[in-house]
Amino acid sequence: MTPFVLPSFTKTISQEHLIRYAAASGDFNPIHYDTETAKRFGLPGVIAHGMLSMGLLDHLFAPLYDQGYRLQEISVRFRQIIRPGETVVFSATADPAGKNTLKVSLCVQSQLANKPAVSGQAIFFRPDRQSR
Amino acid sequence: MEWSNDLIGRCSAPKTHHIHRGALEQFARALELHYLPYFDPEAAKSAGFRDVIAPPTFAITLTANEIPGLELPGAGIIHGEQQFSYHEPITAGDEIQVVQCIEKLKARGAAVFLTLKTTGRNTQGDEVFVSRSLLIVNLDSVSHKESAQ
Repeated sequence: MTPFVLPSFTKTISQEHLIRYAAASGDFNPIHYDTETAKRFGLPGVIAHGMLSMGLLDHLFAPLYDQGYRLQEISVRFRQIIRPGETVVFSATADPAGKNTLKVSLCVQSQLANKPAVSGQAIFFRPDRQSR
Repeated sequence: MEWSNDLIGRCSAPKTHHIHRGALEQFARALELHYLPYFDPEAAKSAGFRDVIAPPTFAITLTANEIPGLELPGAGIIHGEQQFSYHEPITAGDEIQVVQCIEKLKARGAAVFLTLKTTGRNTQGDEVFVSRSLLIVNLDSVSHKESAQ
């Protein structure tokens, strides 16, 4: 079976995303909302939570969930910062590994950047119907 | 604090989290997710779940108690890598007990590479998820080039 590309999507990360993610996750590190604090730590300004980018990857997985796949494992490496206002492309390629398993490679990349902000992989498994 | 290898294997005391539908919904909405089993108990049941389920990265919000002897600085930490593995999705109504342990610790120059492993178990003691976070702690407190993502 050959690898196939999952439908990618593009999102412009806003201040509102950061604030809502902070509230929902409980991560209130000021580098995600206070420009002065962010600059004091050598950052160019407020940056998005790495976990926000990782969380947004789940948009890619909806078609797999609809086919009965369940996420077994997801792992990512945070490579570059993302700042609010940046437009970011989320993409993934699925590689069938055995009858009911997919290995999916993941990429989050700002349109301004020449390398990924986040890269990683996820493993999905589709249980046989009778065990679901 | 002293970053010695003696810290490897040290764990927090267990902490129990009650999983509420509202928290799952708030988390899914913050990520603008539309998959119905995150919101709708009926859709969750027809997809084979007991109740609404958590998006995969929700486990990061199930914080652990402190690990004795581990003092993380408030800033100057980079979140380098994150992994979750699931036996089953976290589901509304669950009671999940989390324990966090220091799995790996490596000092390299002015940086410490710390892998924290968090295990979540249900009331039967079965493993629900394992989360691993690689944190890079910058010991050079003068130059905070980056901070936690």
